[in-house]
Amino acid sequence: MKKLGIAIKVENLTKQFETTLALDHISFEVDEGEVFGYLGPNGAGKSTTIRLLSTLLTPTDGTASILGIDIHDEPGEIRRIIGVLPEEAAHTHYGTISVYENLKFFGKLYGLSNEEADDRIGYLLEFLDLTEYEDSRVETLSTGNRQKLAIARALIHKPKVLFLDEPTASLDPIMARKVRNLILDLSEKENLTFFISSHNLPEIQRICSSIGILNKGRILKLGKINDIKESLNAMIQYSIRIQNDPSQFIAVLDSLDFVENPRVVHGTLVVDVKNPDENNPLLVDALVSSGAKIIELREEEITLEDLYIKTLEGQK
Amino acid sequence: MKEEVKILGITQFRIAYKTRYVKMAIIIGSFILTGSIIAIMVLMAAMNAPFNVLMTVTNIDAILMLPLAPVIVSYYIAADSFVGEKERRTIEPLLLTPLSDREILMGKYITSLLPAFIIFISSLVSVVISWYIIALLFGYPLFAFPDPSILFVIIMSGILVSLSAVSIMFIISERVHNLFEAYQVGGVVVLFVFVPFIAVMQQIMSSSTVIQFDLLTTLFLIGIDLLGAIIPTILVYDNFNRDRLISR
Repeated sequence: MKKLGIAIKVENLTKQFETTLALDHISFEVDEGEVFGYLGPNGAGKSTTIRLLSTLLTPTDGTASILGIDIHDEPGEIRRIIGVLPEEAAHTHYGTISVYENLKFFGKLYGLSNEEADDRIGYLLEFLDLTEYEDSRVETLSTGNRQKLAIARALIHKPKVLFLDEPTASLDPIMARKVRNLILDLSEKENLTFFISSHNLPEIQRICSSIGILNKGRILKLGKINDIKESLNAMIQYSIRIQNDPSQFIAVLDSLDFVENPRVVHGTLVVDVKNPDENNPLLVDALVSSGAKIIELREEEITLEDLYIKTLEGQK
Repeated sequence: MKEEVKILGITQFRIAYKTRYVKMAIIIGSFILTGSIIAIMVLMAAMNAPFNVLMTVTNIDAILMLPLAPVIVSYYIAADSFVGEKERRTIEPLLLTPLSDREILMGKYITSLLPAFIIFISSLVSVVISWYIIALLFGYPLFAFPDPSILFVIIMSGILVSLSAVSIMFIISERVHNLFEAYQVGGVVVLFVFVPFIAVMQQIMSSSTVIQFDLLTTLFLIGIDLLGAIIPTILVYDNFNRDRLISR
């Protein structure tokens, strides 16, 4: 993959709404061609970040640039090079006009000629399986088709950086996969940069190379997914299958100072172990000496969901 | 003017025209107001009103009522401009286009003023044609109606009063929380602005027989209209705020 430079650069970006501090001096960078996942609970400031970077809101403090263009100095140019799929995008269309008219309207506002707009609309409608709805009024479409239309609108002017807020919400699994593949394809082949805000953690894990975890307006974790996982490796989760009743060994595990949170999940003992290379033999010894007949001890791969929950719990 | 601005203005008018209350406003604005002016003319002619009296009443009606036709239409469309788009959640995609604040406002002015002017011109033409038909039918002299000075005041009033109403409604629409609130606040403000305006006009015109205006009266009347249009329009351009539209 060809990397050209920094696509999104954010420095100390802050947004205060009357009494609420929505973003508190956040800083991060996203490389060109990267697919960046932006995670956080509701109200963390994800949509505010997208609105600031897309020039809909003005920062209270700090700066940001997209492909080297400052959001404050050239907002019109920023809007020309970015595409945005807003929050609940399925409900952001002009309902009384047709699918084609909606896309043509936005295509023209982005400065496309009639011919360019028609070519692009034809391609996007076909790709998103919307061709048969071309002349339908948007208010007659299903939520899933409206979401697809919003994706088409975000792509109508061939943007270089895309901000997607819950891109596959309301899409069926087949279309969701198609959109994920489109994101990866555009990132690989056309070096487009994606900034994706989502609660769909498995999806983010599948398509994003880097993530940022945000809570209460602050970035808690930032970096490549694998690097962040490694930073949490001091404590690794293990599943231990035991022939006898696993619940009788909880007390034994509780007495070990390198074990945390022993519990039984679906008949399997689950524990978090500190420094497993050093402590796993001690763990096995302790269990065997107290009569446990161990069938299997398996390291659980940390999922993005684990990482996300651990990060947010760590903040509490 | 940029092509994008025209596209914005015309497309959004097409969208607005599909809503029931805009159609209603067009019917009230064009047919009821124009119809009442014509009805008064017919009634007075049928009662054999003297020519000067008929001319004076018709002129006063035309000056006061014809500019109201575009105001009624533009009032509804302008009220919807920002808060309506916000309610329908279409404001965000619109603000995400490369158009500048000024260009979006220009597009919005086209959306509100274009139908207003079409209705205004068609209403004016209908009243003038009706006058000649009534004059022929009831045997009045075919006096050039309206006098150029009065025609000038009517046209300028139609344009400037509409601009004023649209600008006031833009200011309100950008600040209120829903469309209903925009109509309520807008109704009060527009009344507050236009009742004194109409009262002043009526005072000026009731002092004598109104068949034509002298230069001073013409300039004075246009001056009031101009002031009423320029101040809110400047306020609209100076205070347009994307932040407020998105975060409120």
